[in-house]
Amino acid sequence: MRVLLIEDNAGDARLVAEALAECPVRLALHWSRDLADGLGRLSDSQFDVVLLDLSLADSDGLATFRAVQAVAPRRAIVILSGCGDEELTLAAVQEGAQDYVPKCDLSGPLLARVVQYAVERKRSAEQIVSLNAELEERVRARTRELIEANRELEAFTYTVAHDLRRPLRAMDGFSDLLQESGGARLPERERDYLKRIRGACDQMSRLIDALLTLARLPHRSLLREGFDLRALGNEVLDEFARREPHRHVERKIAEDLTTAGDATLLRVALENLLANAWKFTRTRQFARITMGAYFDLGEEVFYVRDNGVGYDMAYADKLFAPFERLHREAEFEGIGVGLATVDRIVRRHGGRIWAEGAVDQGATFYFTLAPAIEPPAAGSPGLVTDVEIAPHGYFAQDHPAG
Amino acid sequence: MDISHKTILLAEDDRNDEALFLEAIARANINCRVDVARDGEELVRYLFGTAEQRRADHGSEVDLLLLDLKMPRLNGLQVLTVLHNAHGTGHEHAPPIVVFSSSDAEQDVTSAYDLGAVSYVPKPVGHGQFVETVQQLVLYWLGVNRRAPHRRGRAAAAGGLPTGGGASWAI
Repeated sequence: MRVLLIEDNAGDARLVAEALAECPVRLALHWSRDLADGLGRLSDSQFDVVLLDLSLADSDGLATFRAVQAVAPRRAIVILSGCGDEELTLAAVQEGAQDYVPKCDLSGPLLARVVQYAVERKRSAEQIVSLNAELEERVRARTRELIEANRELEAFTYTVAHDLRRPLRAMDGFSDLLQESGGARLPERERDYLKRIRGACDQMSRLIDALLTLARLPHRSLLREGFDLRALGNEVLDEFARREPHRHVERKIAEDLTTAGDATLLRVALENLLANAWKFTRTRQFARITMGAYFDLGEEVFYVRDNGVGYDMAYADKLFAPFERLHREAEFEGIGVGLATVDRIVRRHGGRIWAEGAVDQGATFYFTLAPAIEPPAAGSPGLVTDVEIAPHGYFAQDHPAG
Repeated sequence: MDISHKTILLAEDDRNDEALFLEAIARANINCRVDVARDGEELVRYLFGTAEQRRADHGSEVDLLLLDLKMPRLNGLQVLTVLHNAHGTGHEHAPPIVVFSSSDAEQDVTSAYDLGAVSYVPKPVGHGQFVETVQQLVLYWLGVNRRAPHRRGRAAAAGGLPTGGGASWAI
């Protein structure tokens, strides 16, 4: 181990040399009489530790320490403190010196131990610094990769938006023109073919729109504001009812169903959930859609429930995956993007979504949104907004006959 | 409404979109003239050319530029940028520019307006909607809208086309 002693007092230097001679580890001691010489040696060769007197002929106090630290930032530094200037010594330790030894208490074993410990401590500290630097570099590299991947994804999204719509417009346009100019002359069967082509174009177009909504979600900034789920629920269901006036769907929407969230995104989410509920109750004579909320462990859980055809819980993991469908197109139309979109919207809000259901027993979709900045107003019931609800086993009331 | 003396310059490289556009205005008996520029360079030559060149190339001055964003060589936003940078220098000849694009991406809409487009109309995919949109677009800009006299710049034409369903000008 190479030790550099910077000490202007020859007597003190001799004491240090004698003390270190008792050290069990082999040491090479070099002595500089002043700071200038010490700094010169430090920049010329490698030392493991510097023993430093802060009061030298050419430098005094913390300035001495700082000068040495600047030249040898990766070496252990031990302060040899004059008796009575603990304050100065402690300041040096705070600035990064590994340890100090009072000159008036200079025993061999103590000095040897301090020197060895100082070297070890500095090594550990250096290791942490280098691990940190390595970690930061890795994070930077990963971030660069992610940014690059994101950019590619955006370019891809843009391509989907633009380039796929173009040929589709041509297909739909020209089959419409064909139908119009030749439709009367065409046999029934050929007219049906044209109708199918246009139907497929329409489906593809909706698929592209849904895909884009899904892809753009992460890039949209979230704007949280007060939001009335009840009003929107009614509005959406009114619109469905207007489109399919022959259907009779009983609706139960809890009073005071408000939250905080991004109005545009929550509308998309609720539209998708209610569209599913509307669709999957189509075969029911007495269709019912319920919206409500309850508190579970201080967290508000919203839900949308229907008494429709439900689904097999065995496939629950597929519900929220994009382009997965649990029903045949012939039974219930769809493109399998709705719930994936809802899932993303809920997660963007810091919440989660899950579902419960059974074949022919309806389905319930629960979701949370991260707590609003403001806690619920004092005095609000903070419990149940719809009495019908218990978090589990809720189908009992919907199907009293089992 | 007689707009037979007006000219549209359609910047469009896709032959299908071009055919569907012409079909749509023919259906509504709109008898204005339609010239087609098939890439951004051709468009820039037109916009920065002399009046004589324009008459030689297109026969008349253009009253409306319908700009697709996705074009070979210079795309729509690049054309708008060139025009934007030249704005006020008096070198450019700019009719009102309406972007008519398949893209409904927010950044495209924002950029187009920032660069001086007076309107942005997403091109519908469904044919019925496409026809209706084209007819409304053309009748509004060539029939209903009035540009400020003696100022042929884009700013003078600003007014904006109300987009979407129940527009009230009759066809």
